[in-house]
Amino acid sequence: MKKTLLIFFLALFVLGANSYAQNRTITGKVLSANDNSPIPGVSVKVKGGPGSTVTNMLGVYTITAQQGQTLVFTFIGLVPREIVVGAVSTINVTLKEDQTSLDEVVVTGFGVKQDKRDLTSAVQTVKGSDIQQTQRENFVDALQGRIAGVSVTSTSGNPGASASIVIRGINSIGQSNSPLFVIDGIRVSNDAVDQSLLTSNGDNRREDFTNRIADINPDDIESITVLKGADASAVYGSSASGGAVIITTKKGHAGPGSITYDNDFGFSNEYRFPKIQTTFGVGSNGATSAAVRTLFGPAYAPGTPTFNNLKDIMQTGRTTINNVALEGGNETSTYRVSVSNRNSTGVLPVEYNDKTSLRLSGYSKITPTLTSSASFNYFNIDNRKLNKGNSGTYIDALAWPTNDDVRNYLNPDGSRRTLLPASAANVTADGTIDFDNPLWDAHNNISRDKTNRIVSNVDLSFDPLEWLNIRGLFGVDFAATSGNNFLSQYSSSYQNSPLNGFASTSGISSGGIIDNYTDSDLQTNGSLFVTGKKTFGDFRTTLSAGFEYVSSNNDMNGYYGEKFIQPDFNSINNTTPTSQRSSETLAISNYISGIARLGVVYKEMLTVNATLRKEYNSKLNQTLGDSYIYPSVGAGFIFTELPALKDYNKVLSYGKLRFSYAELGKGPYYPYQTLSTLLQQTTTGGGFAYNVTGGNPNLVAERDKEFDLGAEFQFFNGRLGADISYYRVTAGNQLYTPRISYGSGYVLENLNGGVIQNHGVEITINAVPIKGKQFNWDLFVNFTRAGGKVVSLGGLPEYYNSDTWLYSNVRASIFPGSSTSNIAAYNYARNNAGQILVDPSTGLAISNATFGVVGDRQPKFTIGLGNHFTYKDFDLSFLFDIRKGGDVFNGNEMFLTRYGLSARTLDRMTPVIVPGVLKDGKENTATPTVNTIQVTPYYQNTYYTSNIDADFIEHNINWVRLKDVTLSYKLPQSLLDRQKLFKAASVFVTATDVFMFTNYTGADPDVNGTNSSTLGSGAAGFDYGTLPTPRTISFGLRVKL
Amino acid sequence: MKKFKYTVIAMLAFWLVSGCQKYVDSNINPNTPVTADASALLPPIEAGMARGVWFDSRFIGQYAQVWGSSAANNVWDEQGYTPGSDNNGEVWRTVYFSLGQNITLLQADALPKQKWDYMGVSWAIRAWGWQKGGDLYNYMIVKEAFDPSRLTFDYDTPDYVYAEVVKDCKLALNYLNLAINTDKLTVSPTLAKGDYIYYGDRSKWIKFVYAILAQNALHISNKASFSAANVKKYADSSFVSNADNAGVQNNGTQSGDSNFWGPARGNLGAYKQSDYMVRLLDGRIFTGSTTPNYTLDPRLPILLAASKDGTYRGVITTNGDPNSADPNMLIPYLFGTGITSYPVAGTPQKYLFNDNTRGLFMTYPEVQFFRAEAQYRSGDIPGAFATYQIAVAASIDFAGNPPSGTNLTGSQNNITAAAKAAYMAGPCVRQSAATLQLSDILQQKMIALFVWDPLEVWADERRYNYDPTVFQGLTKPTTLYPDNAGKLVYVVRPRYNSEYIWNVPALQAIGALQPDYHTTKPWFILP
Repeated sequence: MKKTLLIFFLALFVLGANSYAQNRTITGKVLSANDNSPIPGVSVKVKGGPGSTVTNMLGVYTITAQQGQTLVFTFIGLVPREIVVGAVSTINVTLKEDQTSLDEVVVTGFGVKQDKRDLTSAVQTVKGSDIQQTQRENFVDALQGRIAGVSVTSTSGNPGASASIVIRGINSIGQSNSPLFVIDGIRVSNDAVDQSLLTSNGDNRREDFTNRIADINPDDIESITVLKGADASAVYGSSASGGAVIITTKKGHAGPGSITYDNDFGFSNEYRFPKIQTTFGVGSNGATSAAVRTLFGPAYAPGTPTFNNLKDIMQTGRTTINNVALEGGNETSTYRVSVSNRNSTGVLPVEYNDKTSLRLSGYSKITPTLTSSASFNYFNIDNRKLNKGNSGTYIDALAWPTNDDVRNYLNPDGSRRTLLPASAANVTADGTIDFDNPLWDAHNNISRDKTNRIVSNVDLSFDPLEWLNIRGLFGVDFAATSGNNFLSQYSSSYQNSPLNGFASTSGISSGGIIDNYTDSDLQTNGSLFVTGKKTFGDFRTTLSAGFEYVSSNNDMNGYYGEKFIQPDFNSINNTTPTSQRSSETLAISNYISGIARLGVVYKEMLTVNATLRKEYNSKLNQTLGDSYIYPSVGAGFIFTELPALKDYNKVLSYGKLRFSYAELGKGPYYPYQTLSTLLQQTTTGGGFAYNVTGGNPNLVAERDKEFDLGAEFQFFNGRLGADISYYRVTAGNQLYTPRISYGSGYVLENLNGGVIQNHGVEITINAVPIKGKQFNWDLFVNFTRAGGKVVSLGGLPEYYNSDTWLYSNVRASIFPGSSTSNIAAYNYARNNAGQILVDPSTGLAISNATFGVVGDRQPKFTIGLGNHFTYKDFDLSFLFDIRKGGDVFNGNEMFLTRYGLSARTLDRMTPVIVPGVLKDGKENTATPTVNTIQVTPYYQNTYYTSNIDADFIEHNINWVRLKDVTLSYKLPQSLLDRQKLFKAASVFVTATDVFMFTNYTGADPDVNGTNSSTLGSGAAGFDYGTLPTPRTISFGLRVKL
Repeated sequence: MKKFKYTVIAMLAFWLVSGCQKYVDSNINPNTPVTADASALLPPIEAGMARGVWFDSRFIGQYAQVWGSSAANNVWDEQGYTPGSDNNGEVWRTVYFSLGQNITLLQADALPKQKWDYMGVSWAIRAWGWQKGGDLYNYMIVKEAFDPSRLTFDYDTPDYVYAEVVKDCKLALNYLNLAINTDKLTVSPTLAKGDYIYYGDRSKWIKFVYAILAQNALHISNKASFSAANVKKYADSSFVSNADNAGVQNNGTQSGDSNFWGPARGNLGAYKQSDYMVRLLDGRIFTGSTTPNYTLDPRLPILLAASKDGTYRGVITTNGDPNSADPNMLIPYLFGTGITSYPVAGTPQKYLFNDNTRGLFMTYPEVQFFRAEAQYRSGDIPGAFATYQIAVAASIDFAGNPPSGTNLTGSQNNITAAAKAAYMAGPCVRQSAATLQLSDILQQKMIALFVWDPLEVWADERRYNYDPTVFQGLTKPTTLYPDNAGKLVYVVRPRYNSEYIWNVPALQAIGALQPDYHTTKPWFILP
């Protein structure tokens, strides 16, 4: 081998020497097409000749070549260019980013870069700039439509809203299905505060808490790689059972230092509202009543001014973003510093979210065999929120009487203006609550979180031998959040009170509530891997072995008090001492695993990967076994490497079939599930009694078996590419905490039971239809079809997450045989023949008072369609999010109907006869009594208030949404050359959530009823009391110094 | 050398992996204990007993016509139930959740530490639970209860449940006697630490156990195996005065530790005294007179409340309060004459309506009524008459001196000795064995149980199949709940959210999915 090389070099030398005589010196500058900045380190070679060099710090090169020879400019990640040497001796070159280059090398486990050819499972990558240019506050929202198989639902359109992300559907009915987030090889937390850990033991639906990954400054992201299936869990273990989102951050580049500054000014407006009626006024059964708020009274007198109060409380939300990044370095060391500051206010008043991020990252080659990199990221977030759901701002605004201007919320003396006397007696049922004025609520009921967070990592890589690498990673993620929830003593909003057995209580009846918390989350994570890479003949092998540990320590302290001594003074010290309660939830878990991976590539054509992982999980300690082993195998076959197909590679340039099978063990989500816990009691004598949830020492890890089949194609030299995946997961030993017969001694119990099946198809197509000198068009399509089915629940009939029981009797229950994303609700009671039963005393349909299958939130398919055009210095890209099918619970409409506010109640004067048979004892005979009872809803508003829940599930909801569109213009170099300050400059305008065409009758079907900490299938598709995502238009500029 | 280096690295890796086990050895909850001293577990268990009786009394009281809803055609007045609701399922919760695993945990602490009195008390409470449950639900989960490996739980037959009561009572007696024999103490300071029923008085616990046995023996009065001698024997070993009454302390400082029927809890609003109770206390039933006499029974103004106009009115079942719109004639809250707005928490009230009134389980007069009925049924009429007289007198004492706080019996003397003597000599009380009827025993017992134990009243009514000659004020509801198919109510359905969703196959096996299941007669009343 060495001999051949020697001869080769000798030959080159001889050839070079031969042509030396005609050579002349060519110089020039290599610039980035992106921002016209010089690119150091570009390799410049004479094609077929011996000459080669690299550009210096200023992007300048000097090479000797003959006229007629071709210079080849190459740089990783950029499209190579070939230029024929002409008469001039200065050749300046601009290099474009290679759109497909990111697909070639992907970062998988622990920061390791892998050639995509060697992978045997589904992986997809998005560039950080695509995410960043949407200017979204929560970058997770920008992933929707950009990656096949990824489903993102935002909780609301408020600043600081959380986003829940699910990759390839639900594999766990009672645990988290959120993917693992990894930044530069280190795990970081994406947890949102779980409201049930507050002293008030709230449900995850009254307040929203940001999912922590949203802290990341999008401008620091170089690329995002999503590991979708089996491979993710093979690499990262059970916490990646929902896939893994691998974030690679921007690093400093060698070369002259640069400063990048960009800003953004955004304006958000709400444009989707539920339809309401303004014909009928306050009252009940057609009569005016001072004691109610429902709009079942007489029609307003002609000329009565009416208001759309929800619209009236909206404002323009404003966002200001300023990013500065500094970078510099040389061949051995680089560094990058970035500072980002973001302030946003919402489309609802008062709320805001302010974020500051400071990031430092450095890299150094300490010795030729030892490299080190490290980063330090500090975040500060201040989020003032508004409550959502039942007594949140949105519902309060809808519930405000339509003949009263909601903006007039204060009395002349500055006190709260109420319509009904605000007394506890009015807080009885939906129909008679004197809801808070939403503006008064926004100003006076405070909900605010302040977070300080540090994410830091160290990466050491040592190459003792050419083929051997030892790499150690260590990272810390520490976040401290202090939250303040203040419920005014004048408020009729309500929340749970620990003084009252955690039942709801209003601000008025409690005399005001402070429900604060401090949450400190520490996660440390480290790994050590030894990797050997050797080639034996036609076999290229990689063997890697190592271990990883994850330690997490979450400490949530809550403190609660009622009965303010001084009205509206926001401090726990202002609450009556005897009403003060506190709580602590400390959750410590450790897990450690040993991993061995083997990869063998035969003739660059056939790849086999195998992994074995053993995990020790502290959450399964105190059971029969606290460790579990699971394997994965994968194979890839690049059939275009077959000699017979080589001739056709002009058409089919790349083709690969891949297959993988992986098993996965997964411990419980929370620690301490094995032993039942005692709860202090308020009954006489105090003491302890078991909490409602029973522990279970027989728990074992969940077991997923995933089978993944895929094909990758590249046609016409990458002008058209396709990636098709099919997967099927069978997830057994489901760990969940269902309700159970009290015969167990508990109300709920932690247990294993049940099997679910989850399968889907993902198709990604990339195409470059037009590639010209001045005009380029490329596009991508991500098609996702997924579905999960509950095979069994281990003998139990139903399982539900009570957080999703948002309004009336609709919730996310699953049953054996149902979809994993099922909606369950009360439905019509029917006789044996299936006819609707009617109450003979009222003439109204009877509810079956049983939760049954009424809908499935899973869409038939979703499509993300992205287009990108460049014309000279203009760049236009836009993304459509298309969904077909899937059901949504329109809880707002149900509320509005029961409130007499829905447009569907306008027809209340027309008598109706509910089609059905009377429940008079003859309903199951051969001759049931057909209902003939006439009901005039105007005089009998129970027609609306006792309507059947299942009617508010809207089926087969489709939408086409323009998720985002960005137009940018790069200032031409000729213009920039006139000054010395800026090396590059561009301006842009971006709009997000621009419009939506949908058959949904409510405001926005793409919402989530709870926050992202809800486990299982979550509450995406539950539309109740949640602000839809507003339209945001922003503009800004980006300059490079 | 290189080889050596890699051997070291490999050894290091192995050492790390073997250290894993230790690293993950941390799953002990730092936030809450998983075991506790028996004295910390007993108070909530005792409070749980009261809770079960209180919550279900609301609905059972309607079945038994102790009180009724002020609104007409209430489903419970119609002897129906609320589908899809946990209403009237609280004793189920008490037996399985409040007592359930908590008693098991208490015993896990008491047994190895030889706290024999805690063992005895725990078995006594288990027995009490099975007795309450067996009477209400007929079938209960006994054998498979509390098994952590099960997801569903099969029911045991009612005779098994009844036998379990006797078995547990015997265990209780054995342990309580062992405790006394061990340290020769009647009142144990260790037990007193966690005992808010008898404050450590083991002898009173023994009496309570005998009271449970007496109730168990009496309830099978329709069976051939019924033994009046057993009832008498158990009653004689049981309570000897109102100072022995079993009831749990309520501090009345906040919602969680307050009496269910006190002002703080606000539960009396929906329940209005029944016409039956009014007629029992105004003499119409006992004297046969058609005109009420408010001066006959000194308990009348204590137990019931007159309308503003001074007339005592009660709900005739399913009719509601016909005068609810008339402030002078509407049936007031039980707190007193004409009271229609809720009294402020903590304010002193009459009878058992204080926030710190004890939560009662069994009383001396009640046990004496067991004894009287057993004697009567065995033909010992003179004996029955004597016991009846004692029982009525004791029930007047109880009404005049309701227990509150830490006092097992009160000392208010709300009924004077003269008033008591007048009543005892009056027309409402039989003056000779020859005139004594079963209806006298059972209806005087109904008065003695007023407010605090409608469950026992209903058990009596069911034992006599709602016989209008024994329960002379009972009104058959004009409208029965549709699912009843014309039949009267006889059992309570198991708790909805425990059984009707999560344990359906077991319910199917006992027929509890039938719409008229609640009209099936329980085992204990069958011959």
